[in-house]
Amino acid sequence: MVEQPSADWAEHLPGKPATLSFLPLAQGGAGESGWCTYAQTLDDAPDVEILCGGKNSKLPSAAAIWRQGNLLHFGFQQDPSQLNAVGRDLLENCIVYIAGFHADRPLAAVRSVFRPGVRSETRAWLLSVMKDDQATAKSIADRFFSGTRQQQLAAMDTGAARAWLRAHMTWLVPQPDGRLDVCPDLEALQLDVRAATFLPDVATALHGEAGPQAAACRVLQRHCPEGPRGGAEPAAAGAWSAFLEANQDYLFFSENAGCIWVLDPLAKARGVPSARLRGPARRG
Amino acid sequence: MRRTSHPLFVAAATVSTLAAQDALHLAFVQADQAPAAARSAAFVSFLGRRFASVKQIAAADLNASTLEGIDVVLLDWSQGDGVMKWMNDAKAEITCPLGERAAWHVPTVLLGSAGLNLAVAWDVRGGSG
Repeated sequence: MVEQPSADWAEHLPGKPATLSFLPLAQGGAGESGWCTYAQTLDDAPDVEILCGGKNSKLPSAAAIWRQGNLLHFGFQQDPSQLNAVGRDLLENCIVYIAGFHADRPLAAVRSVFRPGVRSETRAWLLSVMKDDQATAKSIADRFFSGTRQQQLAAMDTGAARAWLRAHMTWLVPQPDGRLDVCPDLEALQLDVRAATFLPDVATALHGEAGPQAAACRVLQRHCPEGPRGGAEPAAAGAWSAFLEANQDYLFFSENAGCIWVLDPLAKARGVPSARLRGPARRG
Repeated sequence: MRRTSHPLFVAAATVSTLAAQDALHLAFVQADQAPAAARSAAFVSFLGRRFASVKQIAAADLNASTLEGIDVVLLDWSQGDGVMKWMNDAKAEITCPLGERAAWHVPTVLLGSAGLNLAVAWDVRGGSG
């Protein structure tokens, strides 16, 4: 291991250490840069397993070697002649490890920021931006909202806008244009689509009175795209209840896939709740 | 756009049972139009020493027949022939040397920026960093 200055990383780490210990993987120190992935875009998804980070120009939490389904990302750019003995052994280990994943697949569709087209904003990024004291009502409104909501927020003073955002944060979800807005059904039902309790809570609403029942069906139609489809109208409450009863243990939430609940087919095939089928347990 | 990964670690993870490597047959796929010969040679040489076999397959030749008996594919694909090309030319078709996401079944190691390119092409994770 070698000690190196923590530099820009210090502010992101507990205690703001001046130096950090690194394990060199290349001969002669740093070479050409490769690619790492922001951990917050990985959603703690069941098909994802972060094995290690790497020194990078972004965040210490960014993933350098990680797995999604049967794909293993080895983000270091060096070829074997540029890696040292540890680096070469690590590459070999990665190959052997991924060879054991025959049935797992990358789950969910997550649009890259580098791909043209609509990409959903996330509440996590909004919260991250709001941590910056310099972020104004207008900058936040222009970045995350559109239409009337954008205009309303941009016209507020920043303190009032931040207060409104905090009060409505639970119900902010991406709209068809990818920008955020309050979902009136979630607000009416007082449900947080991102919460671990969302599925049992919405299942309860399906058994309620007509108004909440219809709202629950609309919420599920929007946030559970692999569930029953009812054509122009959401599927009936009975169909949703049956779907949730059969699949609730095999659904996981993905903010980065568009604020939706996604079916984990490997977990369902094995009859193991998705929350418990993680990491090496998904081999085979 | 290059972000990581200088070859220095924060934390290493424990992986694998190394008894298996002798039985693994690999394919090294270079997706660049003008790949660096030395880089490809370094991978093929290394993999040939550590595993049962390694076959170098041109991206254009990748199909069910050439993948017969392959346990793991290693994909090498630079940003210049992927995301940078697509960003610089809005008319450039976004394609993937591995074909369609839904049809791909071979365990795969994405080397360097291949993970970024694949994320953009397939809408899988790895496209934000």
